[in-house]
Amino acid sequence: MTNLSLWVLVLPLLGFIILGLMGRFMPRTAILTIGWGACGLAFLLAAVNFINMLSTSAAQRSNDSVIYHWISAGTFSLDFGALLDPLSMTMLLVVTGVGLLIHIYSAGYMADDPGLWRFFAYLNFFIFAMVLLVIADTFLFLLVGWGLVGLASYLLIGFWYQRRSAVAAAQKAFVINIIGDLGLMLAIFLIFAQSGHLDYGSVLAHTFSGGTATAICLLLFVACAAKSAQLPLYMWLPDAMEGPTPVSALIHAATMVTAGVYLVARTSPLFEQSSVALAVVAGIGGVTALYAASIALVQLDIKRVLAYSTISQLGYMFMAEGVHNYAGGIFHLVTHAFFKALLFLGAGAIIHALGGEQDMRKMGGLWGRLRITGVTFLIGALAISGIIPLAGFWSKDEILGSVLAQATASGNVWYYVLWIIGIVTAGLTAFYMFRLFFGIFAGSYRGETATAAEHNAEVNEAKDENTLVTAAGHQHTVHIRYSAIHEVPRVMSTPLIILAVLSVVGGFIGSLALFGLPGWSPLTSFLPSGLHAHAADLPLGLAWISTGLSLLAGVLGIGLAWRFYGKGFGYKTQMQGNPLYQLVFHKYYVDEALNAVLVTPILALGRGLTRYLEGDVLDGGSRGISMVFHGSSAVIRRVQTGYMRNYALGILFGVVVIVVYYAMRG
Amino acid sequence: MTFTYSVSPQDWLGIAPIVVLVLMVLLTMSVDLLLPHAGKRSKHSGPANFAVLPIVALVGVLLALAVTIALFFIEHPASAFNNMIGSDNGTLYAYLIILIAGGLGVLLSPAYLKRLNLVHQGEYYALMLLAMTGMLLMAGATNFAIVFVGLEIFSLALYILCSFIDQRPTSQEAGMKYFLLSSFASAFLLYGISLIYAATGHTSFIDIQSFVATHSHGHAPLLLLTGMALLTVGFAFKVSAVPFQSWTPDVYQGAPAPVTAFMSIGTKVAALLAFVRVFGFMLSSVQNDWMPVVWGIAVLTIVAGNLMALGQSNIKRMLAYSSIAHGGYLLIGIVVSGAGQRHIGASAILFYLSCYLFMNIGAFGVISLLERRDNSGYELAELRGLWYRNPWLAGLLAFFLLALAGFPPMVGFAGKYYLFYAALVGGHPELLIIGILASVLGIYYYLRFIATMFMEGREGIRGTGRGESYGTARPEVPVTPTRRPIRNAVPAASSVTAVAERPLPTKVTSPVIRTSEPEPTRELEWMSWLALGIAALGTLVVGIILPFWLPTIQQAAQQLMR
Repeated sequence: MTNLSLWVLVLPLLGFIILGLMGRFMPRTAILTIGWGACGLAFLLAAVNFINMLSTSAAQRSNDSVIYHWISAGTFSLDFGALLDPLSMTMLLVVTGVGLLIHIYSAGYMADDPGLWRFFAYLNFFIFAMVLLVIADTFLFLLVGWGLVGLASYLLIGFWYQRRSAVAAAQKAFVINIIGDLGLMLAIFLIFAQSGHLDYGSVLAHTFSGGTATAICLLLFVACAAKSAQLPLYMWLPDAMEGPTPVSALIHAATMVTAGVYLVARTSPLFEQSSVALAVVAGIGGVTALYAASIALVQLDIKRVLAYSTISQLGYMFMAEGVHNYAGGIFHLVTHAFFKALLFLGAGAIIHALGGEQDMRKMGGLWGRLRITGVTFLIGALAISGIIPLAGFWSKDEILGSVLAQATASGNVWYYVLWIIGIVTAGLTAFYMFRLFFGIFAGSYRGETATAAEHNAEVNEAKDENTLVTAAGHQHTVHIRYSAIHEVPRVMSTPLIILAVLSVVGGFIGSLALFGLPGWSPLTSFLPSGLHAHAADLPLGLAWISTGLSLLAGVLGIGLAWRFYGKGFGYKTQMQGNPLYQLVFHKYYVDEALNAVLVTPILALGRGLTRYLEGDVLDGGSRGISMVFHGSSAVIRRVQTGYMRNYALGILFGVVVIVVYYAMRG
Repeated sequence: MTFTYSVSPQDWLGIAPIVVLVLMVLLTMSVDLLLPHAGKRSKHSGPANFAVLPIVALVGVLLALAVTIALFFIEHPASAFNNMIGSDNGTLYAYLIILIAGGLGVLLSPAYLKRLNLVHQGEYYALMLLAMTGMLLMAGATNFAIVFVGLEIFSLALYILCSFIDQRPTSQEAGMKYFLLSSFASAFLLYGISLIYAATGHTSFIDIQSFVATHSHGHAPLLLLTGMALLTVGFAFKVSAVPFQSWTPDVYQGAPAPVTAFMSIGTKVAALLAFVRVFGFMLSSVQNDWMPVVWGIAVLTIVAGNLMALGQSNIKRMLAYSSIAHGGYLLIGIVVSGAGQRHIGASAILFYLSCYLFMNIGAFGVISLLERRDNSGYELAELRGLWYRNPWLAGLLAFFLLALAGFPPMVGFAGKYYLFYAALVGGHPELLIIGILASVLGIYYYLRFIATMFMEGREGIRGTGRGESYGTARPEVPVTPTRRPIRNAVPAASSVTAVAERPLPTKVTSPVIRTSEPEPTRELEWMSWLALGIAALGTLVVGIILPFWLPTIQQAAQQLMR
């Protein structure tokens, strides 16, 4: 089998280099040609290689070609190779395919931005980094890709660097991601210390002792949780919505955040060695799914609703992987990439049409003006709510089925709880998605009638944020009259339509066993057998029960949303008095708590330590040594401000400790 | 007892780089005498041409580099002058690092000296070369006498270089503090050396090593222990390890930026090489005695250095604390060098230093272009919006800071990776974990500065006049009537009035200079840009290329430790 992945890697890199160096001077057409071209060719090559892979026998579908020989010291050697197997192929297609659609869409969304070249350069860089992450064949280069996607995400979240909030969000994302990188690094060191290898082939074949396997897997999962925004490291993702919406769609919904799901699937032989780690994966996934869905119920910013929804759906994927059904997790990853990218791009279209408005309270009635966006958004909402026969139904169903299967096979009551969480979350998902949908499209337009109080609040908020914003970006919210709202240009609506089609048919790559076609499961049979072989089987009857319940939950959610918001979204001010509402609305006050518990003390410690050691605190009464210099030139008088004494004291202290230690040895 | 030793040509070959440097010091001073002065020849005037002397100095550095590289390829003795100084491959490798740092420091200087109108160039470059000489001596020393001679040569040169800007009180203060505190350290070191001589009767490392190995039985006698304690203090001071770090921020901040760039690397190389030789090799048989202390100092330095850097709002101070933290990482190498994996520890130090060299000089080099005479221009607030005023400078600084943070593709990652690998192999996984945790903390403060540069300054978006230095981002101050005439008369120097209005930033600063600054110049900046280019290239590729020579470096380190 041929391995074109190196070219898939190099093309976006070239695009990034050319745009980064010369994009500033290029006309719009040239920027788009290079930006789209690099990603498009990468997708084309991936697709060609995919067809080539389909035509080879299953046993020969994995190809690992060494590209670069990096370190060789004694017994330790390290190569960088491109590993192309069905798993990385699937990821590659999703990354470049969805990436291409979002590249196309961005041309419309970012049309007025003076930083267009920069944007496409970053996008190409992200594609490069993500491809590197996916095709790396050693843990070390996985780490490099892992770090680089974090950097790309940092650059793109902070793309509108004129906004202080965007820069703060970018930093937060980066720092939390670094915690993940730290986990990955420690895992890698542990792997290396125990097995002496870093390449997937040798490490995944290695049997670790029980405790070590658990430690490695848990450290890996720390990395996954940070990258994929799982509890307790999810805080950065909602803030990351400060970035341009296409970025949210590409990086923070469809591809980068799923890197954690990919990593667990990639290292599944390790996870299979540790039932504890798998239980943690499943548990964290389930709790995150429910937790994030509950926050999404009350958010007012449409992008934030989608962000929490993403966190919740990622939780589903980990749930599947936690019950050995890695293929199910990947399946949901693929369908989620379709419909979540669709929803984000749809939200972007709405924001674009409304001149930067993101608040649900100022929307409504857009069905009449934004027909294409409306229809595609409805398809996306139906898909994520798990309504048959759209993509989300199949993948979510498979996940819930395998959780129930694990429950019945193991008899452990916690898996039943997990399953119930899954069903409840499905209902919540349907509810908040249709709350969002009705809020945007149903009822009458509320943008013109924003109350004075709300308006004032917004002005104040803007002052807090940053009043100095001058450059472009969808920052200045202009209140647009209903009649002035227009459907987005073709360049934006085409990707919406394509993604909508994929969201409808995408589920059929999954298993149709439920409907009497047990032989039909293209994705599962394409993926390596290790990714689903360990999953428990579910009798057809139970499968029907699980499916029926999740479908029922979905329909119930939609129905409730219709009951409350079908006539239009009314923001009920009396809800503000409700403590439970406040708790959820403020995202359980996690950010505030984190600041109080972690950020402030560390900063204070650093400052305090500096102050103490630099001598400000002791400054007042100190004369001592400085007296010696008294009366000399003005220069020396600077020295006698007392610091020298403190410094000398510090040194003396150190000397005494060290000498006393040595003396005690003697 | 009489002692005879006849010097052979082989001995001179072993110290050829040092000889070349010393000759070039003399040449530089002679050229300084011959150059035509600007205006009347007095003690306040200097050569009119700011390009000749740096080129002479640079030729000196390049010659020394060439000799060092040539020595790698020809037959050369492993030590010279009866084991006074090593000339093995490990030593030569350390020479390379010092000389490259010195060369880049010299390259950064002319534009800086010209802009700040520092006329005493002859002394400046001669002292730079002398400092390098001293560092080479200390790095190569295999005898305590040479350690001390080298230490004093480069320290004395650096005291003067640090206080080189005579009109800047902070610079004077830096030199003074460095001198005073460094004297303590020298005293401790010398006392330690004499105690060790008293305990063993030798000053040569190899003699002491065999004496200790045969007499100590794994545990050192009290006299030797005391000597070791004092040596630890002396070396820890020179690598600015906690709790002997207090001089570093003040000195780094007050000294001229090119000097800071150079000394932040050079002193570390020299001190660490001597450190690793003395402890990793000479005292290896009593490692149980010293290891816990060095371990403690390393951990303390890593943690405190990173923590203290968190609160800094001045990039030079931040980099000073960051260099303390990096010194802490390097001490991991010393700990490992005592833990039975001697060559891995030493090679990790060499590897890390060659990585650290480029990124740190690059960062300080950017600052040398931002710095103004009154030692301002690089506060966090002033960096705000730098990206709009000078995207190249901001981009480079961001690049170097990311590298210092240890971000994967750049050199900082490779260096840290190998150092942490050494910690793991050397049986100190706890150092690995502490190191990684601390570097995560480190990312925060580097990012803070990077993010600030990309934020819009209050008046940042408008381009500044050609005459202003890059760092001008200060808020517009109300112009008082008395100052208005000056402002109208010299439009290009609009920043001058602002300088006088500026409140005192941090405590190291002194009464603000009220004299008006001469118009900043951008002549000779191509040299600085060349240095930055080399540093950037090094930061980018060294981490990728150097691992190929890792076995060679390990071999070199093995020779170093013998």
